[in-house]
Amino acid sequence: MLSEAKHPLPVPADSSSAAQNDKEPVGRLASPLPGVHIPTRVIFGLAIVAAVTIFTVLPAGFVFIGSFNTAGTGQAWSWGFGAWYQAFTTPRTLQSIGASFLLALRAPIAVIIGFFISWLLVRVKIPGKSFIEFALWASFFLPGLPIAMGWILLLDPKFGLINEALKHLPFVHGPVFNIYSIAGILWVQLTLTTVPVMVILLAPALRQLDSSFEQSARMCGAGHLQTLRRIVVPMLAPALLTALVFGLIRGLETFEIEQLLGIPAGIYVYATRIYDLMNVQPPQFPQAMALSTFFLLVLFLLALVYQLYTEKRMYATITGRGVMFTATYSGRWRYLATAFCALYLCAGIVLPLSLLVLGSFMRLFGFFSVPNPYTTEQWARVFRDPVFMLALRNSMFLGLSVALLGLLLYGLIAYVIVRSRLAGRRTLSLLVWLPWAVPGILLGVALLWLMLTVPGLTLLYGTMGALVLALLIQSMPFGVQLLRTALGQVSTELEQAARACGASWILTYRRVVLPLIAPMLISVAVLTFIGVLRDISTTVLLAGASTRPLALLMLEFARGGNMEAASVVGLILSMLAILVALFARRLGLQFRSEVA
Amino acid sequence: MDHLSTAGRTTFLMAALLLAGCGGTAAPSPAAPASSAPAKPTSAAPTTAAASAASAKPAASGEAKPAAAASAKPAASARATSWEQLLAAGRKDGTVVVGGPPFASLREAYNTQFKKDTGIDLQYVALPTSELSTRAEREAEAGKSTMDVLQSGGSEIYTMLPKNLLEPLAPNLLMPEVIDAKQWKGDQGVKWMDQQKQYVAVGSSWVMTDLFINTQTVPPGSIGSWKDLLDPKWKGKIISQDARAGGPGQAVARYVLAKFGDKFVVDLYKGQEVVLVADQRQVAEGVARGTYPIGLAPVQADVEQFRKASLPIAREFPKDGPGSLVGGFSGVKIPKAIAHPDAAAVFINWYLSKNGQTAYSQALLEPSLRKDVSTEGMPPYVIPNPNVQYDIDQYSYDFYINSAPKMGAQLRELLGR
Repeated sequence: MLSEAKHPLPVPADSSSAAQNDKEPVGRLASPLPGVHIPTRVIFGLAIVAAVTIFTVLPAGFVFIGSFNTAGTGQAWSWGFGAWYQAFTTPRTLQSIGASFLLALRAPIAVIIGFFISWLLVRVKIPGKSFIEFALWASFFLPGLPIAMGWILLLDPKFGLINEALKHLPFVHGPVFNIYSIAGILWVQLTLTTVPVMVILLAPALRQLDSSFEQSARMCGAGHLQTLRRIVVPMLAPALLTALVFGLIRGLETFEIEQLLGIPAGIYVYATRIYDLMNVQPPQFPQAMALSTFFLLVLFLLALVYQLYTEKRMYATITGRGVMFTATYSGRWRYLATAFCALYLCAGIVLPLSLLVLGSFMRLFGFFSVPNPYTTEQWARVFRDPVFMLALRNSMFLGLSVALLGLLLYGLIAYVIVRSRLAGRRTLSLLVWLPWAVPGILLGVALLWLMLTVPGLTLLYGTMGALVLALLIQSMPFGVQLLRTALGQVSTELEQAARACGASWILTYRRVVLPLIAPMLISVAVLTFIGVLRDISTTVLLAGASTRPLALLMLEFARGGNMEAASVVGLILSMLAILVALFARRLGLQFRSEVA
Repeated sequence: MDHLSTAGRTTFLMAALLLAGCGGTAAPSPAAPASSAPAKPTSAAPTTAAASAASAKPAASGEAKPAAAASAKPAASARATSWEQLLAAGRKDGTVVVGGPPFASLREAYNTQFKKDTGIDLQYVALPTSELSTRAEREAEAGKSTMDVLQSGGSEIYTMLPKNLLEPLAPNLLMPEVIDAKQWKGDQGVKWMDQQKQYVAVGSSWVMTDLFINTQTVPPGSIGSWKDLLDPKWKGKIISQDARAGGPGQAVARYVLAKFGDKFVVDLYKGQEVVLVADQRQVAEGVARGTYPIGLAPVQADVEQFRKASLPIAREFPKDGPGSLVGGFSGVKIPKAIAHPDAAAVFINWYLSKNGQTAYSQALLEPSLRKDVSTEGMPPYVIPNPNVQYDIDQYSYDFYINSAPKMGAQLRELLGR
């Protein structure tokens, strides 16, 4: 049911009351509930606001203030704008800003492709939809560095296998593809992460959309495209916008693929430039922080626009009226759509994945002509490494802890943002973006400072608790914004019905709200788990010898020049992630059948 | 009050998970078994009553907790006056945490040999140089160092030494074979990177891996001079690790800048359109594959992988620039406020001993400054040639402090900031 006045189609008469209810704040709902005291809930909500403020503003403030330090390395602090001047008069920095914005274009491209694929999977229910969706999830779990190496092997202009094969065609006189280019980076990013993540984000939102709206439109004579344009897209606008903003912000932060493919072509992006500034001798932290602050402001504005937009256009698509989740399309073109998806999967996922698997069994990654090119030694080496099992345990512990704690915390924060009228809730929804407004490598430095400085947190430093907390902060924007979108899709009338039956707000939240947003909860949990498994920048400065996760072992192999062993660890990480995703998917289907 | 109890349970669950996280580190590292007795002492670690007494005490295990500012112990040298005393005190510490470069081979070598020689567990924190330096500085400033020993180049001379965040090492050097100057090349004892000769000791010195060729496309010996690289036929065919950032790429660029001046650097890197990459393996791989006939600054650990697979990559020594001396990751230092000062001092002594230097040099293929450490298995191109005068030592105090930073800034100006 639409909760906004500007409906694309006429809605039933009771929609206005539902819309009114959707806006009803938690604070005002408190009094009718037996045994609930407003001050407790207000205090609870304010505690969340305060905690989020501390854990987001302090790291961002550290970066902001650090940008005004003009002292040289090893000298006492002094204030000034020197770092800002240097940062923004340097040609390479300016070029990196331009390239970052150019590469950020992949976000809208991915939203379009991701939405289209999600629609095919969820609404059209094309043949092989389960496998296609699974393959897209699997793609998102693949490690970036070895996959990028695989793409180099395929598309390097001088020795790439595809380029070499194409040279045999009569009309080809030179390399067709160049992986070291903006287009090359866009391709690798789109296929490896950006499009898959859009499907992962949009498919659950689409699943929560009552298909009776589309059927009504079709009965009124609307065609496929018109229904899509007039019904599906407007109702999913908040989810689409969340995905877009997510893609834009994350796109500005990505690092390793840009470093591997961009720098040989002289292409610097924001994140590689910051890495560059931190790696010169002596490190130029203030310049890196000035550049980061600039992007922090840009992203803050983006988040503000997003908030203003979504506040006015949050559609409740799950109401107490009952919902339908059935396929609404048929026809032979479904097979054509499957063929399109299969082609995309082969080109974008199967090819590099095959190379990754092959690479893990090679003596030297990508060298097919050396004597005895294939070996299992790299796998044996990884399994023999005494650190491997410890790192595996640590990764699993971190992934599960952060995913489970994250669900609780992010769910509560999202609930406060969407349902309450607490003072500061709008600021809260902006603040939760902050951990992503600072690039990972600088966020790591800021969190290190936070852990070493803030009383209480110092007790956590050097333990797994510090890593859990840091990763909870790092994953916060993603978790909260997605759950916020999902909560916005649930009409408050369902909660009110539960409360009218005497349920407390926590019980209502647990028994009514959480099951209704289960698909998104599962997506958030799985993606948080994967994010934790893959994270390097947040943990590298905090992990110790016995708290290091697998991703840092992969970094150790990769930096030590052993890309083959790094591929093995990468594949193990991917397999872990896929296993968890399969389990979560099964859980999600169970939830879904219960709800239905 | 159902909501309160539920909320309480939720809070409890979260607290329990976080606490479990804190305790999650209690499991001893498989790399550092808690109960393992010390192996039989080597010549570097003589058997003493103190040592055997120490071995009866179980070694500390698990994660090295940060040393709280109040409990941070003083430097080890305050107590021990002999190597035996220091070793016994180190065994009481039980564990040493070493932060060093991310090389699994180095971690494995240290874990095995150090434990065997001293009976002390070693935990290795693998970090790239800039991250290691950043973390160590912040920890020492906060009085909560989790790494007892830092191993990398010498950047802490710029960052930590001016803030008095490093402990002096020299008073803790007690092992006879370490303090005997005749055991070191040049008979001058341990090499130091800092002016005070107290804080940053260096274990190795080797010839920088400046220039490599693909022997199938470039005949060996055909690059007689660095200026031959300016031949137009090499335009766009030279690959290098980024000379504007720190690391091997800049070490080579500094050398050619010092030898041939600004114009040559610009003519070479910009005029010849040298392809600059960030990933060091890409340089060696590009040359080995023949994609780039010439490579500047690949590192020996990468080059040797390809050489062992019979790929055509070889070092070229131009006559007008045989190379400079560098020390790689062999610089060691101890930050302030560490948890295991005696074990840290033991590690420094062990590292500078024959066994420690053998473990390090074999793992990273960096020849040691000690006379008694074999160069067997070392690539010949990194071993300093006694008949060659290397006029630049990039790990000397004068060059590292006075020249390197200025040259780094100059290179960024010349090649584009």
